[in-house]
This record gives sequence, structure tokens and C-alpha cells, in this order.
Amino acid sequence: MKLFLSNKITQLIILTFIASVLYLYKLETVPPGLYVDEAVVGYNAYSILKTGNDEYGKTLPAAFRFFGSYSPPLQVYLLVPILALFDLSIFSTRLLSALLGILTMVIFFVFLIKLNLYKSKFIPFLGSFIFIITPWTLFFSRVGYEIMMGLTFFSLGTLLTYLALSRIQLIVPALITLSLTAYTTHSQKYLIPIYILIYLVIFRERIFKKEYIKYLVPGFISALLIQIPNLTYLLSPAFLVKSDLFYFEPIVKTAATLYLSLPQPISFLIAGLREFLSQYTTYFSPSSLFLTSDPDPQRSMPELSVFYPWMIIPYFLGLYILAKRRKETSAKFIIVLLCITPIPAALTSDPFSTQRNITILLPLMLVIALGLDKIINLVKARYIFALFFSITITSLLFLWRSYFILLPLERAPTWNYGFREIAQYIANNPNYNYIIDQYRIKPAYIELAFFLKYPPSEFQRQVDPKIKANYYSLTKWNYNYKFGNISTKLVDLNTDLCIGNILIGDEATISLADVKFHGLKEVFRIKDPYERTVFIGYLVQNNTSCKTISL
Amino acid sequence: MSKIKPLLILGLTLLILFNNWSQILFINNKPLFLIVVIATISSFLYLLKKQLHYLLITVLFVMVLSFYQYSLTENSLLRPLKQDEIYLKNTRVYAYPSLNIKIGEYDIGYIVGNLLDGRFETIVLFRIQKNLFEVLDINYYFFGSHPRERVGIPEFERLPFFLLPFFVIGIYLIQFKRNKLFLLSSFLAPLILLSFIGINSSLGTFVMYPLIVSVTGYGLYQILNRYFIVKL
Repeated sequence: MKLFLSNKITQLIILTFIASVLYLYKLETVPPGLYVDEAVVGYNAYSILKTGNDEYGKTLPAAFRFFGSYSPPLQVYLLVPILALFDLSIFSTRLLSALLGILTMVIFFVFLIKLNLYKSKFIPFLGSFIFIITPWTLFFSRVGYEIMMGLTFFSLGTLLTYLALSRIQLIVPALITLSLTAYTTHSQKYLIPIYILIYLVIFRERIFKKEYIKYLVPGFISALLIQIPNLTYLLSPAFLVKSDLFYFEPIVKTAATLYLSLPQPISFLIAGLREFLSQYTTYFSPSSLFLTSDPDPQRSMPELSVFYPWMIIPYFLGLYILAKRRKETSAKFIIVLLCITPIPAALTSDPFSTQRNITILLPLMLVIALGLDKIINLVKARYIFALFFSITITSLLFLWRSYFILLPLERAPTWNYGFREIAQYIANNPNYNYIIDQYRIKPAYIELAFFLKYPPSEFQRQVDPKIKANYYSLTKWNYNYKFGNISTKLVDLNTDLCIGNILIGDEATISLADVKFHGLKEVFRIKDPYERTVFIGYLVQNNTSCKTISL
Repeated sequence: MSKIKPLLILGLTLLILFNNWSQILFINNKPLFLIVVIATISSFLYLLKKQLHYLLITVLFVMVLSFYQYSLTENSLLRPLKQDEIYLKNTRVYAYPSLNIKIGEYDIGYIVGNLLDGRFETIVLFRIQKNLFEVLDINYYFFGSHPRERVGIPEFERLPFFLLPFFVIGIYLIQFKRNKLFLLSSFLAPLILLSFIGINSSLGTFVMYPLIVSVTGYGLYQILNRYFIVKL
């Protein structure tokens, strides 16, 4: 045991093995289907790989115009070599996040060794193990878009800034990493400047010394140079495309109802502060952290929140110890992380967004590890193994239940289950025109382009050229696409009933009465694992009202 | 200085008692309101002065409040499952894969499925867990559960949100070791009770009122005492 505790490399190898098993097992099929955010990342990386351009024909953009969201580009660019190795598939699209999840665990492991807060030698291993199996980490290590990348870069950047407090040379790679972090997710674009500012203010006495200028200046210059691509579209509408997520409406509503008697500017100020604080505290609320999770079913798993319920004990204990030791540099560092990480997410109206605020996972896990450290010191040595064993079994059992059993069963439609089957049908029956309804269905064009591996150069030719010319200013996106024999639009029975068309939608797209009246023939029906119909395809057999597309 | 402190305590007591929650208690149940006020003031004074008689009053009145809470809460712990819940439960139980290991005549996959999703005892345990975390939700007390309001339940902001920092400071400044009995009677015992009976009461979890309001007052008092009164 003593040998194991002193050998950090062995510990890391074991942890990496556990993380690899958990993050790679059934990666292709769980989560079921392929969410549109994954499809758009995967297809654009494929497009970059094949042509050097994104789906709209734009060469190496600084932000990708995914459904008008202008996402930071690092995930797409780092996915390109993976697709070159493994080709485009659900597995390869999700693989990058899985690898980043493992890397984040390693960074967390180093954090636990380097922070002078933990007494037990068992904590780096135990804390990292808990980090691996925590639902929040596992969930985003298995999705094919940029969330885990944000956490990885942020963790690495903050680790380096912490280490730079005692070895100033590290401030250069720290600032470079943090600057790169701004290219991972939208939230990081706002979080990173706040973090650097607070870090410099809190630790100014240890950073701003005359002899350190030779490190600080190149660090800041490098960080600024890295921001040049962001600066190229800084003044365009694309840069602030997420500003509509701010909660203007709730502020106006609260000011008008709760603080009606106050002068208007003051009532708005108080209502704004109330809204911000309510959003902010949600990220620390036991109810959100241990019970209900993200209200968006795509960002959560059934019956399990972002942490296991038992973690509430080390959570509170860790917070208490942190407050008691607040004057120590390590504790101060965690407090800074804890206080600033929820700020960008708390400025948006989504309550408890596990995506936007994944960075809080780092300080929260450090706090929980602090609580665990205290518990280990309280418990007699011979009981520690029993404690570790019971925690592991219970946690893995609940994780297995929620993630590997209930999620594929209950959340398949949320994860856009069924598009692979549609693509398969289209590939097998290329002589029809396909119209996919977009009234309730998530953007179908990207799913089909992904699964059909539609040649990116051809796809780019069929996109409106105005978009490429005004890439960062045409922020309004619409779902109407036409490529090959596929159209995505609202199905219109007054124009789309042409012989040879196959109309695809959900159960409510075309009523049974219309099916009978127009003589439509059901050619396929796709059901999810819960036996719910997700898609139906109807073949048009008569030219009853054909105005748009015909063979 | 000696005249300022009692005035400060009185002022704080009045300030922390004038809130949405106490108004609702006063309108709906005056005896209950009176008990809540006495329990809160005694808690507050106990935190400040550490005198045993204040603790005894607190314990006594929190016990009375517990009976009120029990009788005024719609207890749904042992509620039978609704039709849709039964359907969900049955679907889940059979979703577990067969692991080809049998204990008796049943496959271990089915046994685990039945244990986690089929047995009523497990469902009751999950309900207790849900109640526990709902009671501990800070947003429930200071923001009327905003931004995650519960469906079908009229929410109200129990305490003004600007008191939240003082509540946090109060919690931090309470010396847990010196206040074991106080925390046991005004926090742990009500917490256990609410975990079992839930929070479905139109008057809220008022058994927690004395603790939350007195701790908030304590935090406010400590701040004022530390940064303002000393200067006077």
C-alpha cells in the first residue's frame, strides 16, 4: 500500500485505464443517436479535412457559423487529425472529448498534488478517481462538441497560473494556454479576461516584481497575439451573437412586479442584481448539484444530477475548511476559482446550465476532495478501504443505471435518434426526392450530411454564396437546405405532393386523414428503444399538388 | 457603546422579522406566527449571548413548530404511485440487460433493476433524498425558488434576497463546536423531519424559519458590530 501511495506514475496509469474504459465503452451508441451540435462539429471538421473550408466554403474561420451560433473553433480544428485517422463517424467525433476528459483527470491529479491543502497521501488517487466517475465529467467526456475542451484548457491554464506563483517562468505558458482557452467555448471568451484580471489583483504582490518583467511581458504579448483571429471579427455582429441570452425580460418583469414602488433605474438595478444572484447561487445549490441537474434533457441523465448525492457531505465539509483556511494561498486560489467560474453562466437566462458553467466543476471537485481529505483523517485507517469500496460500488451502480440503462431508453429522441436510419434508407434508395420537415425536428441537413458523408465540396457549392461573402455579419440562420436529392424545410401539402417525393416527419407532421386523402404510402417508420415513433417516411404516389420538386 | 448594542439588537430583530414569510404566517395563522417569532428571537439571542435559557426556549418552541409543520404539510412520502409513474417504473425494471448470472431463479440484471427501480422502499428512499435537497436549497428561501420554480406550486420569496450574504456570513461565523445543541435542535431535527414529510405546505418550511432568520441576523450583527459600532 505504501509503495502504491508513493508511486504516482502507477496511480496515473491505473486512473487512465479506468477513465479510458468509462469514457470509451459504447461511445458509438451511448448517448443514443447523434445530437445536432455533435453532427455540425463532426461534419465541419470533415469539411476542413477534405477542402480546407467549412460547410459554407469559408476557409479556416475564426468562429464557426453553426446554426448562427459562431462557435469558437478549437474543437473543430483539433478534431481534423482524428478524422484523418479514423474517418467520420459518431465514435471519432466523440473521441476527442473522451481523450480530453482523460487529460483533464491528469491535470486534476497534479492539482491535488500541488495544492498545499490535502494531508492524506491517498487524496490524489481518490480525488481523481471520484473526478473520473462523477456524472458531470463522464457526461461531457462522451459528447462530440466543445464543452470538455473548455474545461481541459481552463484547468491547464489555471494550474499553470497557480504553479507560476512559485515558479514565475510558468506565467508564459499559463497566459498562452489561457489565451487559447478563449477559442474553446463561448463562456470562456468572457471568463478568461475576468480570471486573469482577478488573478493579477489577488496575487499582485507575488506577480508584479521588477525581476519578473522579463516573463510577464512576453507572456502578455504572446497571449495578445493569439487573440488576433478573435480580433478580426470583434466588431462584427457574430462576436456578440450570444448577447441575446441575457435576461432583459425577467428583469423588466421583476422590476414591474416586485419593486414597483421604487424609482425606475433603482428598481431595474435591484431586479438585475436579484436575477444575477439567483442564477449565481443555483450553481452552489445542493438541489441543483445533487438532485435535479440541468433542466435541458439533452444535457443531463435521468435520475442523477451532476454529482452523486453522498458528495453533499464532503462538499459542505470542504467549503467549511476552505473558509477556515482562506488566508492560505492554495485556499485563496480555489476561492477565486469558485467565485468567478459561475459569472458568465449566471448572466444567461438558462437556470443551471451544465454546459456553460462546466468550469465550476474544477473548483467544486477540489472542494469535495478537501472534504474527503478531512473524512479520511477522521476515519481509522482500516475503515478507509471499506469506505472507498462502498462509495465506488454505489456510485458506479447509479451511474450505470442512469447513463447506460435509462439514458439510451428515455432520451433517444432528445439525442436525435433515427437520422442514421434515415440516411441508410436514403443511401439504399437514391432515386427519390426526400423532404424532411423542420417544424419540430432539429436541423436535419447536418445530420444527413454527416451520416451520408456528403462530399463537402459539393455541399459548399449548393449553399447560398452570399453567406460566405458576409460570413460574420449574416448571423440569421434558417433551416432551408437543398443538397443532392434532399431538402429540409417545412412540409407543405399544397406544394410538395409530387410523384417520387418521400416526405419525412414525426407522427404529427402529416395527419392520418391527409395520408388517406392524398394516397400517401408509408415506406418506413423509425422507432426509438422505448418503441416511440421518431420518424415516418411517406411516399407520394400521385401528383395531386406538385409545385416545387419533381423527378 | 453599551446603549447602542441593545438598540442594534432590537433594530435587527425587527428588521429580520419584517419579511414576506412572516407576513404570510401572520395572515394565515396568528398563533403559529407568534411561536415562530418567539423561537426566532430566542435563537438570535442565544447565538449572541450563549445563555442556556434562550436555548431551552428555542428547543421548546422549535418542537412545537415541528408539530405544526407535521400537521400543516401534505405528506407524500408513502403516496401510492400514479398511473404514469407505474408505467415508467415497469418500463425501467425490464430495461436492465440480462447479465447471465442467476441468484435463485432470477437473473442478477433483473434483481438490480427491481432493486433500483421496482421496489417501493427504493422509491420512498428517493423521495426522502428529494425532500432533503429541496430543504437545503438556498434559492427556495431567498429567491422563491427562482430560477427553478417548481411546477404547480405557488412560490414566494420568503426572505429578501439582499439578506443572503449575511446568512452566508452568519453560517461561517457560527462556531459549530460551541453551538452543537442549538444546531441539533434548530437545524438537524427539523431537517430530518422535513426530509420525511416534504415541503408541500402553503406556509413553507417554517420550522426552519428560526434558524435561517436568526443566523441571518447574527451575520448582519457581526458585520455591523465589527465594522461600524467599533468606530462609534
